Amino acid sequence: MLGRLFANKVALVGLLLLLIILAIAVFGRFWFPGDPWEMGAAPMLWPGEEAGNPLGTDFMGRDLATDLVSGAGVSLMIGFVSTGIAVVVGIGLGVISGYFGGAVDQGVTWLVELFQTIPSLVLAVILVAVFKPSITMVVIAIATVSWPPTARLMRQQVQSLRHRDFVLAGEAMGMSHTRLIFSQILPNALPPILSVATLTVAHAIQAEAALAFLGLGDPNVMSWGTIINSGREQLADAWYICGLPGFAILLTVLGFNFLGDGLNDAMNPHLRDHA
Amino acid sequence: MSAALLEVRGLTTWFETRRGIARAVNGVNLSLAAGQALALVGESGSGKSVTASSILRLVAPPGRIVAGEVLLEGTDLLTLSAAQMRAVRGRRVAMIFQDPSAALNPVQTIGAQIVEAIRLHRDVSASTARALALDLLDRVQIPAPQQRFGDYPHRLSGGMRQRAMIAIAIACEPALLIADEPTTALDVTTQAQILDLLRRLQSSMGLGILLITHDLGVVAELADTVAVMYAGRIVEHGPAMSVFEAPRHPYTAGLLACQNNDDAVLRRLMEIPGTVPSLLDLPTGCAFAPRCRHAVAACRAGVPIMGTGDHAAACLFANTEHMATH
Amino acid sequence: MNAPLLELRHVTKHFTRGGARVAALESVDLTVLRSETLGLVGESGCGKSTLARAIMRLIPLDAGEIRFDGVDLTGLSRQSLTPYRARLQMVFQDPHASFNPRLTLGRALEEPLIVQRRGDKAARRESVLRELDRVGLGAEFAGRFPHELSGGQRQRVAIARALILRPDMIICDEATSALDVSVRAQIINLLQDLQGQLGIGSLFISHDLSVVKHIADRVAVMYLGRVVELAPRARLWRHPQHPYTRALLASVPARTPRQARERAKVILQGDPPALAEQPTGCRFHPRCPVAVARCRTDLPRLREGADGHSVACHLA
Repeated sequence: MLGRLFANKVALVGLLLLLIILAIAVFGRFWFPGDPWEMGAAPMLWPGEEAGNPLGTDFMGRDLATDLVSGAGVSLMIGFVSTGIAVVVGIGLGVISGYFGGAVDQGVTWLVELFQTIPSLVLAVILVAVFKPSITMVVIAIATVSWPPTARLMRQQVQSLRHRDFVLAGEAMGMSHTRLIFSQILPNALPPILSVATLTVAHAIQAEAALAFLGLGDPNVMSWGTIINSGREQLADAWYICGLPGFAILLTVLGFNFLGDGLNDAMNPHLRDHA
Repeated sequence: MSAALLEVRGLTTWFETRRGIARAVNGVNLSLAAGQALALVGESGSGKSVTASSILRLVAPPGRIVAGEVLLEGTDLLTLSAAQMRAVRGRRVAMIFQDPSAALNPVQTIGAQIVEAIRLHRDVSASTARALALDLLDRVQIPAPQQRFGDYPHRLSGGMRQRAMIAIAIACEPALLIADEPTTALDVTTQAQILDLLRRLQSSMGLGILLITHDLGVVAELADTVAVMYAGRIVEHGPAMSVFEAPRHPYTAGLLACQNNDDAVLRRLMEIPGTVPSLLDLPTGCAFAPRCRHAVAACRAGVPIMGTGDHAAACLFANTEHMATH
Repeated sequence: MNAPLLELRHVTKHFTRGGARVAALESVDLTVLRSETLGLVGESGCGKSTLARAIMRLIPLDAGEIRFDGVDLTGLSRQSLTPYRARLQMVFQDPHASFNPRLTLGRALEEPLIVQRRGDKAARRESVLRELDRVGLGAEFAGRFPHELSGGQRQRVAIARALILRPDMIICDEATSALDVSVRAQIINLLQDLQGQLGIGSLFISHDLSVVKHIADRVAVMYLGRVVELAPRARLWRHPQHPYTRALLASVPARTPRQARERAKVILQGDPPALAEQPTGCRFHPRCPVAVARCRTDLPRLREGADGHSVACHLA
């Protein structure tokens, strides 16, 4: 399967983009050391205007290059952690619902539909607004709206696997429910989740940016969303303050999308070969 | 001697896959007279279904017909344009498949599907087509045709769906019906009904039938002539009775022996050791040699040539005593 | 002394399909003796696969008892059932679907031993290799994945998996139906050899009468959820008493073209009724060539006659 993935040029581009961004997040501070909050330079400098501020400064005189680099790590981290939580919750609920069926299934399905009916951004906004805006709250809010698609997919996968002969064979030799779920069903149900998870990370990063733009992000943390928020008032004159982090988010989301699609394609012919 | 309805010469179809070329059909020759039933017999991996698709030019890439002639009433189908071929399919040659559920449109009533088939090739009014369709439903022995006309496929049983598929196939009175495993998915009692129906249509319509199957029982019930296929080639052909009673190729003999014997209580069923070769990696020489207990060095040297005559086999030992005794 | 190992009494199972209550199994009575092979034949919809799964306790029953070696399995909790699972194993129809695609076959064969806590890793490894050898496969198959094997090879491994716990009885649910003719013979021979070697009883379910004829000691015929006839093999073929059995046997295709042309054709008319519309009285009467008035109203019971031959028909 990996072979097929690597043969897919679009997926490779996505992977490359992500690796570059990850590298910037991790190692960027060696090129741009310094406190992102430091208001050392002249405000509203355009990119390229000053040698010391290659990407310009915001209205408070903070160096945008340093901010972007620092923000990369934060945005990625929020994206991964919230997706991690969402995926674990989604898998858990999806498995229980798909495996046991009946009333349990009805209950979980109702819950999934409830969460999917409420517009996710509205829900996230409400959650963060009600509780104090902090990085933890942002992560929780995003996780809360991201789990339903994973749960649905997992439920569908488990349902289709539940009655396959090899699972019945396992039951026939005396396997407990736990063993059946973990050793027979999950390993076969998980692969498509990988693709969904990468797309969920992309959504999470966008959601974080949206929340920050609305002023609901954690004001003490420098993320890409925070930068966009700070540049809101200057859109007419210094649009680059919003534009640069926006572009960074675009590249990241694109990278995840390409990779996610590539994973999806790589897995399908794999399944086809075994038919 | 009836004129040949279908004459296939040297048909060769290959599939170009990532793992190499799968030689599904290699130099196949078939001959079917009008009103006769020819059974093309083989197990999975023999190439029989691909042969059927090749005759109707329904082989999808990466499959390609690389050589041969398919003469239907004298015209070589492989030389026709796409438009000309569309005029042949359904009108002069029709096909029925193994799984009627997959071959019938689930969102169209069966009446509508038969009418559509009729109006594709014949210029008749809607009411005439409907009348013809009702008549067809009756001919394929579907009870209460008026009522069934408006039924969707899911309301019909497996046997009735197969009959509906046959009705669609014979709607334009084709000269040749290709039946690809038509009864494999059916219960044995339903299978008996469908085979009976095909026999009746064969005699009432003078319908020629090319039957693709792995089931020797179905061959015994329906076929006038038989062609046995193994690893992409015809290894034996002849009148059904003659092939069953005096097979000339070890594979045919082996297949016949695998069905258990009625008379003697065999303690063990005869088996053919080994497995069918992969079409990607055919052995040189006779493809059956690795599994054949009569094989000698000469068998692996080159592909044996088909003998001449009505009943012939592609085997160095074809006309010897070996085959007849088991 | 061939005592009954498996006894089914009044086994009943209903399904609800689209609002209608469908009887998949209706008051089925059946016995399988130790070391015998009971063949179970019937066409689609007769309930034989449901029965197999019910016996294996993979689906619950609505009524009836399943007695294995004297113990009623229906009354047992999931925990108490575990030791019995080792004594009653199953071979499934589809060799492709009956193995976890992600596990090697060696690992799949070890699973029953792990679940039933038999032996340590070394002992398990040894068992796996021994069973593979018993079904005619070399040690290298332990490291292969299901998709690397042919259907026939996979079915051999399926048999090995069923036997590795040394059960008293195995259920073969259409175990040879998905295989090619030449491979089918190999698998049937293998099953017969192993049963003889290990003294194991079996319930052999199939729609293919010729296979059942070869392998079974006694044969039961099912139609629409009920057993309609039960007899020793030779008797069933020579003197079938139920009209459905007669039609079934007559529908089996001829062996040779000559036989096909010479024998009289008995074609059973009509189709089995839609599951929700069960006929009153004898379930077979709408299609029965010899049905009388009584057949429409009275349900015939399975009555035991001479020579262990039972029939459920008013006219037998």
